[in-house]
Amino acid sequence: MARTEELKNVPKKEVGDTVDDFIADGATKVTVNKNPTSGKWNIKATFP
Amino acid sequence: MIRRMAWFVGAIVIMANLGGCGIGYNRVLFGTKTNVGFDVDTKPPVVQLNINRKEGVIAPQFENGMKLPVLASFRFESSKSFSPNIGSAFATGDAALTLAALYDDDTPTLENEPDGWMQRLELIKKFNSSLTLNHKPTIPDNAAMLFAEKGPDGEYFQQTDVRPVFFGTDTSLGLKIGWSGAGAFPDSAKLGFNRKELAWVPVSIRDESSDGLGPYSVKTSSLLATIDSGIGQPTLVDGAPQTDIQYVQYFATGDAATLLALQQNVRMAMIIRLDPNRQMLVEVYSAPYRVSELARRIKKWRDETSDQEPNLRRILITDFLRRENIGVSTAFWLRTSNEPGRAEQYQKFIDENDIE
Repeated sequence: MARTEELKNVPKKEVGDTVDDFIADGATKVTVNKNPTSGKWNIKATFP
Repeated sequence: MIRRMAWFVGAIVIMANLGGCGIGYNRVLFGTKTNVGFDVDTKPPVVQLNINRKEGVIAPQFENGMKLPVLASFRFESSKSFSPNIGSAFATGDAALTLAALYDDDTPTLENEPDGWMQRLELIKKFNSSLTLNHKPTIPDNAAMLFAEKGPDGEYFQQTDVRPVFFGTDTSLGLKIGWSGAGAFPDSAKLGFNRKELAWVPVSIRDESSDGLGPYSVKTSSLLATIDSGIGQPTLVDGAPQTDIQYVQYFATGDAATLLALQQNVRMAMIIRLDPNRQMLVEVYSAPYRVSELARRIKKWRDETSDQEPNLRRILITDFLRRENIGVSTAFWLRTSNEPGRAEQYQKFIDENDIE
């Protein structure tokens, strides 16, 4: 079953490390979007 | 039945009166017809499903086999004994191209403008379904005499004159769920779904050169109609029947159709439904970023240099998540410390692996 995981309001300095971790865990797609209200970042990972 | 036949006959008569025929030459006729009957009964136990679906297009084929884009999709699912959901998308022109190109991608935004909805007005220009032809298309004399009518400017394809578009859908959804006793689940459930979609669109042409020698671009209107509906597993609670029902339709033309096609939720009519059973197909986990001291200790232990196999510590975490039936990734687990039960999970892992 497909699965998506989304981390909300990730601090900017943690974005790179978090994306690397998702990819190491086998994510097939990772998208990063800036949250307009908090100024932090939302990271969504898709797993097959 | 007679009313439904009249709908199609009426549409054809209107189209014929509005501008001749020309279908397959200088006009596109695109239609679908769907009929679904779904019946679940416990006495005697029976599950019956009938799906009747017709799809068809009559459209011109230009040089090198080029055709203008049309798209139709239909989806029927029932993940439990009776929890049917239906999705359908029907589009032509830029909207068809957008639906096919983006499929299940997120709603796109321009780079550096992640939250700018106005920039989507610029984005739709990138989804241009025009075909570029090296030679001006011609229509055979015999076909022209029979079918393709010229516009007031003497041209078969639309240039500056106004031509009518017909775009319509006709939908009916019927549901009957019956309980004969006080059991939680129904004894019988029936669903009937009927939908017709029809587009009749003129093909326009534009000379892209200044010398009248081409190339030429041909195009049809951007048209979009979708339906997405779902019915949750019906139950009886304190004698009262309960079920979740969701139903949404979109219908749009022109740039509005293309803009809607950019929206991921609209494209879900082709892929994943918006109904109560959505979680059955895709597990979605969402939580705020939070790293506790316990999580930080595990992460430090995992990432520090070790004389063990480099990936062994990562594998130990993955194995722990599997054993404990924690259905998320290592990355998510270590960064959602506020989720219920996380502190106990972290502590157990620390104890198992003697992490300082």
